[in-house]
Parts: sequence; structure tokens; C-alpha cells
Amino acid sequence: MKGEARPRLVVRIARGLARRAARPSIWSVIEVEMGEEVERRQSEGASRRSTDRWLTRQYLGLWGSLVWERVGSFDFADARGGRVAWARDLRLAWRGLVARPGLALSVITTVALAIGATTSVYSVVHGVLLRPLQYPEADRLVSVWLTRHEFLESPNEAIRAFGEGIGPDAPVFDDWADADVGFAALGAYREVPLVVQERTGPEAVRAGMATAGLFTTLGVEPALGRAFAAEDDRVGAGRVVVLADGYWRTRFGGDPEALGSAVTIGGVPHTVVGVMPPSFTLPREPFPYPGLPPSAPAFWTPLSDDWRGGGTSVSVVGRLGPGVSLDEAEARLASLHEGLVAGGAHQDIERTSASLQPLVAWIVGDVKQTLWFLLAGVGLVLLVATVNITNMLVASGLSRQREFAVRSALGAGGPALVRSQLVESGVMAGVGGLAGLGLATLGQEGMLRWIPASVPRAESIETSATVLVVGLAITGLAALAVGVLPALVAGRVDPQSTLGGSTRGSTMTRSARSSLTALAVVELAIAFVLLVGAGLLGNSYARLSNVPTGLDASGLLVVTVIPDPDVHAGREGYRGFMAALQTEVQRNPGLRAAAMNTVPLSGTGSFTPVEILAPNGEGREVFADIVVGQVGALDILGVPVLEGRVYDATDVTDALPVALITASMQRKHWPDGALGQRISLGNEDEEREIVGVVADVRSELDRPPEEMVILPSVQARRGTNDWVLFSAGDRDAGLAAFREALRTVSPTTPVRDVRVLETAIEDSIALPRLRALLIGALAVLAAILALSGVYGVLAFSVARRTKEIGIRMALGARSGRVVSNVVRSGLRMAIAGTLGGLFIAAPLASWSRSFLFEIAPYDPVTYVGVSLTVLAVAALASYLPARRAAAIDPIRVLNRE
Amino acid sequence: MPGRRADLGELETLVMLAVLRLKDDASARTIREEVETTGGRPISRGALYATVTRMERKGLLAVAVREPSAGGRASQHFDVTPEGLEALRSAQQRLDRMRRGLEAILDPSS
Repeated sequence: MKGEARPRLVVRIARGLARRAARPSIWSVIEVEMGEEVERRQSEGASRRSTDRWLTRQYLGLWGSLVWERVGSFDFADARGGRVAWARDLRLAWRGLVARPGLALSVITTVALAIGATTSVYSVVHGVLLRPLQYPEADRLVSVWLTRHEFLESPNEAIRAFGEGIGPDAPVFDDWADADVGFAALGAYREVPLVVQERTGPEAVRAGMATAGLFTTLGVEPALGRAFAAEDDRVGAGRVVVLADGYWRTRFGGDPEALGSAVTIGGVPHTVVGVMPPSFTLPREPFPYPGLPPSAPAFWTPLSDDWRGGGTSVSVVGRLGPGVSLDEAEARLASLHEGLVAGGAHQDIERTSASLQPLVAWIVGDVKQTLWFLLAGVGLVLLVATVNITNMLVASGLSRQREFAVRSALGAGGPALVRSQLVESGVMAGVGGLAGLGLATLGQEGMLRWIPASVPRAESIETSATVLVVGLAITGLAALAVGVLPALVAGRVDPQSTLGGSTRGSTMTRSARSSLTALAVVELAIAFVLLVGAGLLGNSYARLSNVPTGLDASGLLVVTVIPDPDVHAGREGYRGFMAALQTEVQRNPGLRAAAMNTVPLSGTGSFTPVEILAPNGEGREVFADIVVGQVGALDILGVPVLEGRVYDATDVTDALPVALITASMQRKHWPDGALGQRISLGNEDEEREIVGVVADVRSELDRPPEEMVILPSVQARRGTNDWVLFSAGDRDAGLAAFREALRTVSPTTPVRDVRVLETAIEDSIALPRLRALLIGALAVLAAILALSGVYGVLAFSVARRTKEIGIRMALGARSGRVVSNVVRSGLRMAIAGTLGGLFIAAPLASWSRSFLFEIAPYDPVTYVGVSLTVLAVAALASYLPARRAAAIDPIRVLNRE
Repeated sequence: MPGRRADLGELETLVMLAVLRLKDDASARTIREEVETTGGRPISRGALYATVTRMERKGLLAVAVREPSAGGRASQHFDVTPEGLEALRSAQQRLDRMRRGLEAILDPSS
């Protein structure tokens, strides 16, 4: 059924297009020929469908030829006009703008806003997505990683996300690097916070650890000295460091003699062997090390000891060899890795595969979708603006028909009128566009402040020449787009009927009115789409920020401290430091602190397999968030205990290991109660007894609370470097007291990072907030434009129909009837716009699915709400012209005749 | 367009000649066939309609409606207007004048 109906509609549309393009006499010839052809085809047994397809092709072809013919018939020789005519047109255009300052101002403002917004968003897209990375031949750089298939099978979304993009262990990396996969070079790195001993005391800096191959891969030579050599990759090799330009300047005053001097990193002296050029940084990792300072990196040290010792996870970058394509390298790497897995020479790679992708895509990650989405949004607003201006200009052109007719009667040909109209709209759009580019450039700094820290490559966003060229090109297109229709209106004027008719054009031509109405409907449809988007995203953001977190973050600080390993060596040293610092801090009245491995919602999470043990000793493995904390941690976070007890000072190192679980974990695995049940952590041997159940806590806002196991720090092997700090009084004073306590316990240990927990939570939803705010603002802008479009069409139509309405009223039409007539045509536009909007929104909505939180892309409430809003707004926009129509005085109208 | 002589393009000339040859039978289909078979120049449907549209606008060609014959339906055919004929004649004369003296090159067989 559907297959039958569809070609017929398509044929009708194609036929309609061709008919509009053809001269009436020629059209009748075309119809005869098509009729004969269809008959002939049918008599030859062609199916209905193939005939329809043939007809569609023919009509579309004819349409194209006839439109092209019409464009060609435009007499360019005449329209070009010569220099004198251009100068006259520019003068006329200027005079036109001055004569209609309201129109000129609205057009220029609209263009400026639309171009400004589009250029700004484009500058972000360009800087983040399109601009090449700062390395030479950056398009040859790829990111290489492992996929862990067992993670991909997890029902937990966060674990699935975690399963891709895993760095390899050193032996696997070595096999990749040694084989002929098509890489010209391969390197591995990790950015970490390191402690460097300065004259003023210990300080945590951002540093990189890299293999020798990394610098070759990135293709950047040191400005001074050397980068790492192959021997630096050996475990236990000489301690060397390559400095960043900035650090070299601040620490060594930019002295070339710095080569050979020592920098004490993590208590170990390192010899300076090189200095990198200014602005060199390592590619930003999508999942940076927790607590990494946001500052510029200070230096780079060899990766080997950390990595080959089995500690760090790394990022791997490769440079494709000459002539090797990405697909080719990926295929070769994948088969090499399959061989490694099958060979069984490596541990822990049984269910992995190796993949690669362009480095820039890896750095940009998920942000890409958001940026294209925002660009699409701003593009829609530009479209509404263009349509709106076209509408204003067409209306203005229609009301200037007498002027055109006079000029035409005085000898200006159609092409001359078309040209002067194009010049006029071009001047307005051009002025507006330049103003918009100015706005975008001036507003750049302000805009950058709005970009969340989680957006990578923000530093490469600028109003570059490319951005300006694109902005100018868009302006040019917009000028052309807004100019064509009004110019044709001007060119079509017929002096005889216009001048010969009564005082004013009493009614508009049907086609003029229907094109004005169609333009307003298009505006409404696009505004509808943006409003739906704004509704969905705003709703998502509101839900995200009101999600029950399970804890009370108000006033809490998260302070990262890693004890100086030289002073507090070994497990005992570490534990001693932790206990001493907690005691020392809590000597301050009103200050409470507890160290945790990770503070929920502070931006990091960890998953570990946990074995659930049945009474008969059999186990079942699940993944859970592991939270380790000192005594008092849950209390400071405000997490209530629902059943059993919280761990306390009696749960010491050699007592029976205990664990707490969250309510949803109990519901899922022990519906009959979890107290007294046993679990075992994947990397531990001991069994633990569940002694308490606490309320659900989220690890991340956009992830429902799932399995979480909470352990006392004295019974866990994990480090607890994040201190959650509560001070009853001033937060800064509390932090100062904490620093003081730290200095007392360990003078050589620095504070690495301080975060306000509430801000960290806010930051974690900065991207959804940006999406909601920006699309919301764009939707409001589009709605205002569409509103003014509807208003403009109706006001214009009422003004043109003054005589008709006057006569009707003289014949007894009531003013209420007149009002409802006008409002009804406004509502008709709104309904058409809403339907059109639904048509466009449907495919776009599913695109936005990944941006939505706990709301469906087809949420009926949003759609109904937006539809009602559009209707209400249209009714409002039509009310004023309706009132004006009702106020028409029939006597004056008739007297004028 | 007063004062401007309507020049004829190649396609326009071919179409006009075809219409003249076909007399009362000049429909879109027959013109295409004539230009293709006799003129030896393929012409798409779109190009033909674009050409006749342009020629009609210039007043070189007109669409004439033929009264339906018994049992048939009304049909149209193209007619060359007097202006069209004039344009064709002057174009041909121009061409002839330019050809004069070049017979040996242009038409070696004669």
C-alpha cells in the first residue's frame, strides 16, 4: 500500500515543480508529450511503478532545465549595468536604508546576531574538531588501544565505556612496536601529578612520563639538548628529565647552562638533558589522571620504571608510515594482536583486541557530538533569521510596488530593478554580517569562559582567518538568500496594473500572500524544532542537577595528599601518616576529615570484580564500585546507615575484615538480607563479612546507583589519597588549618589538589548545562524571530486589505468577526508550523538521545507543551494586527474611494 | 527588447529548421526526432524545452492549438513566427556572407 502511494506523491511534487518553472504555453506542450509517453509505456507493459519513476525523473529534469533557462534569461549584460549604474544603485540602496530606518535596523540586527552566533559556535567547532593538532603532519598520528571484551558485556554502562581505550602493558606494547604493523614510530605516555622539591618546599606539578619513541612519534625535536634515547627506556636507567619551556624559564631563568643540572622529583635527583620548544604538550588524555593539575606541564621523565613495574596505565600514540592507510594499519595491528593472544605469551590479554583511530578523534571523544549538535542548532537559527529577513524584505518590496512601477515606467527595465533590490539587501546583509563577525571576535573571550573544562583543545579556539572566511562566506550566502525573492518581486512589477489601479493595491496577489505565509510557517517550524530541543535538554539538565546523590556535599572540600614516599615508606609508613594526619586535623574544633580512595561524585570512579560467596563457599562474580574510607568518612558525607552498623575503630587491621554495601546492592543480590553474608574482593584473599547496609550513593550523577562496597581503610590495600574535609566555620580557614596539620605531620608532603565537592559535582554536568543553555537561548531567539514573522505577515496583510475589510464591515461584518478572522489565519500558520516542526524534529530527536537523561526523545509532555506554546505565541502575534483590523473605520475607507 | 537583434544559437537554429521541415506536425517529440536524425545532434528533453521556452519568450516561436479532429483530442504544434523567420533568414544570410570564398575549405567535395 505504502509502496503504491509514495511514488504518486513524488510524481505530483515533481510535476508541480516543473509546472511552476514552465511558461504556461510550453507547459501544455509538455503535458501532451508526457501523456503520450505514459500511454506508450503502458502499452509496452511497463509497470505503474517504473512509469512513475520515469515521470519523476523527467519532471525533475525538466524543472532543472527550465529553472536554469530562466536564470540564463536574466540579462546579465543589462544587469551588470556598468560602473555608473552600480554607483547609482549603491546610492539608491543607501537612500533606501535611510528612508526605512526601522526595516534597515531590524535586518542588520537580525543578521548581526545570527552571523555572530554562527561564527562563534563555528570557531569552537573549528578549533576543537577541524584544526590540525599542533604536531607536524598530525593527520598521520593515531591513538592505539585495547578493548576488553568482558567489560563490554557488562550490564553497567560505565563499565562498558571503561572497556574500550585501555592502554597495553609494556610487553604487549613492545611486541606491537617491534612488529611491522605500518607504524613509522610508536610511543607511550601518561600525564601524572609529580612532586618536585623546590627551594620553597615540595610542590605538586603536572608532569609527563613518556617512552623515547613518543617524541619521535609526535615529530617534535627539543629546542635544547636531547629528548629520551632508547637506553632511557630500560628499567633502572639513568634518572633524566626533559623540561618544558615554561618551567625552564621560571626555574632556570631560561639559562642554556641548565642542561646537566639536577631537579629533585619525588625525592630523586634527575639530570636535565633537554628543553622542549614553547607550547609543546602531550596530547590531552580523554581520561586524565585523577587530581592532575590543570596547569601547563613542567617536565617529562622516562615512563619505564613506573610502567614496566606494572603500575601505570598508559596512552599509546603511533605515526603511520608513508603510504600506510589507517584501515591497513588497523587490520595489520588487529591480526598481529590476535596472534599474540593465541600465542599465550602475555598475561591478561585473553579476551582483548587492538584498535586504532585518528589521534584528534581520540582526544576530542564525546565532545564531538555535542559540538556538531550545537552547530546544527545555531545553523537552524541562521535559517530562521534568513527566512525572517526575506519575509521583511518581500513585504517591504510589495508595499513599494508603486515606487518600482514608477521607476519601471521611467525606463528602468526589470533587470535593473532586480539589481537595485539585490544591492539594497546585499548592503544590509553585508553591514549586519560584518557587525556579526565583529561581535564574534569581541565576544570570543567571554564565550571561552562558558566552555567547560572538560572540553579538550579549548586553547586552540580562536577567531582565525579560516573562521572569518567561513563567516564571510555564510554572510555572502545569507545576503544572496535574503535578496533573491524580494528582487524577483521587484522585477515582476507591472507598471500598467500597479499605476492604473485605484489608490493602493487593494489586495495582494495570491502568490505573494502565500509565499509570505509559507515563509512564516517555515520560521515557526524551525522554532518548534529548537523549542522541542530546548525542552528536552532543559528537562534533562534539571533532572540531572536534582538527582538524589545520596550524600550532602554542602561545604565539603576534597583535598588530595600523597605522602612523601621517602619519609613514609612502605605500608606501615603510609598507614602511620594517614592516622597521624587525621588525628592532627581533628585537633581543630569544628574540623573533621577522613581520607578516601575516591570521594563519590568528585569525578573519578573505580570498578573491581567482587565475588559474592554462597554459604557453601561457591562464588559468583559481579563488578562493584569500591569505596575505601577512614572511620568517619561516611558520616562526613552524610550517608545514613540503614541496617547493621558502620565500621569503627574496633575494625582494626587484624580483626575480621568487614564491608558495607548499599541498599540497591542488597536488593539485587541478597533480597533476604545481606548482614552476615560474605564477599571477597578480586585482588584480595580474605573473605569479608557484610556488617552494614547504607543508603544508595551515586558515583556519578548520570549513572544510577549500582553495586557499591565500602571498606574501612585499615583493612584495605588501596591508597586513600583524597581527604574529604568538613569545617564548621570558614572553608578557607579550614583548609589553612588542614595545611598546617599536614606540615606538622610531614613537612615534605605537598597538597596536590583542592576541589570544592559541590563545584566538582556541578562541573561533571557542565556539558549538559552548556547544551541546555545554548539550545535554550537559540530557541528563544528563533521563537522571537518566528513571532515577529507571523506578526509581520498579518500586519502587512491587514494593511493591504484595509479597503476589503472596510467594505466588509460596512456590509455588516462585526469587529469580533474581523478579529477572529485574522487570529484564525495566525493559528493556521501555527498549526502548519507545528506539523512541519514535528516532521523535522522526529529524525533529529533520535540524534539527541545520547544527550538526554531520564527523558525520552519523544517525550509527549514536551511535544504537547511546545505545540501549545507555539499556538499561544502565534495567537498573541496575530492579536495586534487583528485589533488593528477591527479598528478600521468603514466610512473613511469608503470615502477614500 | 527594443533595438536589440535576436541572435540565434546553434540549438535554436536547429530547432527552428526542424519546425519548418515538420510543417504542422512539429510537436516536442517530432522536433527532437528531427534534430537527432536529420540534424545528427542528440538533444535531451530538458534542453529542448529550455530552448523552445527561450525562443517563445523572444517571440521566435509560438505554440498553436489545433482543433480536435473527429474523435481525437486537441493538440498543439509549434509554429515559426514572422519574427522568427526573419531572424533565421538574417542569420543564414550572415552565415552565407561569411562563407563566401571559403567553399573550398568548408565543402571540399563540391
